[in-house]
Amino acid sequence: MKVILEEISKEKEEEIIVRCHKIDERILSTINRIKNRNDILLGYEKDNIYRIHLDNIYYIEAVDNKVFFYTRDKVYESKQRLYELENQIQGESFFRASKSTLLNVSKIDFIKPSISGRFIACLENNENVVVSRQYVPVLKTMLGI
Amino acid sequence: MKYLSVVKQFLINALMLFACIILTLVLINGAFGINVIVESKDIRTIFLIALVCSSTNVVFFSKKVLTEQQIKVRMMIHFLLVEVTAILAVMVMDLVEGMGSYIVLAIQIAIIYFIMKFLTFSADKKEADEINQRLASKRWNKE
Repeated sequence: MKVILEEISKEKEEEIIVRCHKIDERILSTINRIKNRNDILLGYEKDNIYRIHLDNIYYIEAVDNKVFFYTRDKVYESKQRLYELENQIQGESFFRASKSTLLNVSKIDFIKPSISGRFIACLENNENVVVSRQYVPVLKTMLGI
Repeated sequence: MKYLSVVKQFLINALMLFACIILTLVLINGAFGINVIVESKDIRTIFLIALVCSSTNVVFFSKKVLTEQQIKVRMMIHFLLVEVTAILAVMVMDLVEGMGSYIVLAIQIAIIYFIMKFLTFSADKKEADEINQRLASKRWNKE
């Protein structure tokens, strides 16, 4: 499949044209995903509410029934449950790394095995996040391995 | 459903272990000419041992995500449980005699346990390298 990207001036309206042989389920779901794309999450810090772009989130973790977003050097609380966020950001660069963590693949610097039988993802901000063995195939699929 | 999959895994492990012990006994009889006679009573005992050995994996189950430190502690407990279970199994089946033989057996179990851990770690390292290569190529494409 050929992909054409064209940069246009600010005055023109952005558009996506899909040229396909047949409009099938796959095409429709891709279009739906693009239309419903919500790449902003609301993060709470004390009394303030912030709009956080998904690209800035390193990982999302559930701790004692609370959910937190971790950016490069800040932590925000979310009012949503982990599974709700997982559904919301489906198709983005996040994957479930353990029972309590969603990890942004694009923020992983490298992965190393641990003697405990799990994998440790070292992130660009030098934080380490555990990747359970059972979720490694999910990561590999995302990377096209 | 979650507990069902745990029970399923426990039974699969027990059956695999049982099959391994029986196959080893057959190989010993065939290859080394040692005549180990296995009666139906022994088969029941072997299956019971396989069940008990498989149950040692219970130490790794947890509702919460365990920290690295907690996993390491549980690995030590698991190793001790495997040692005790295997030695008790040998005692029940009356396969070795004398304190010295038991010490040698304990050392052999420890060596096999750590070889298995090392092999798992090596396989994981290979898998991690594959993932890292792909991560690097993605990053390179992005830049």
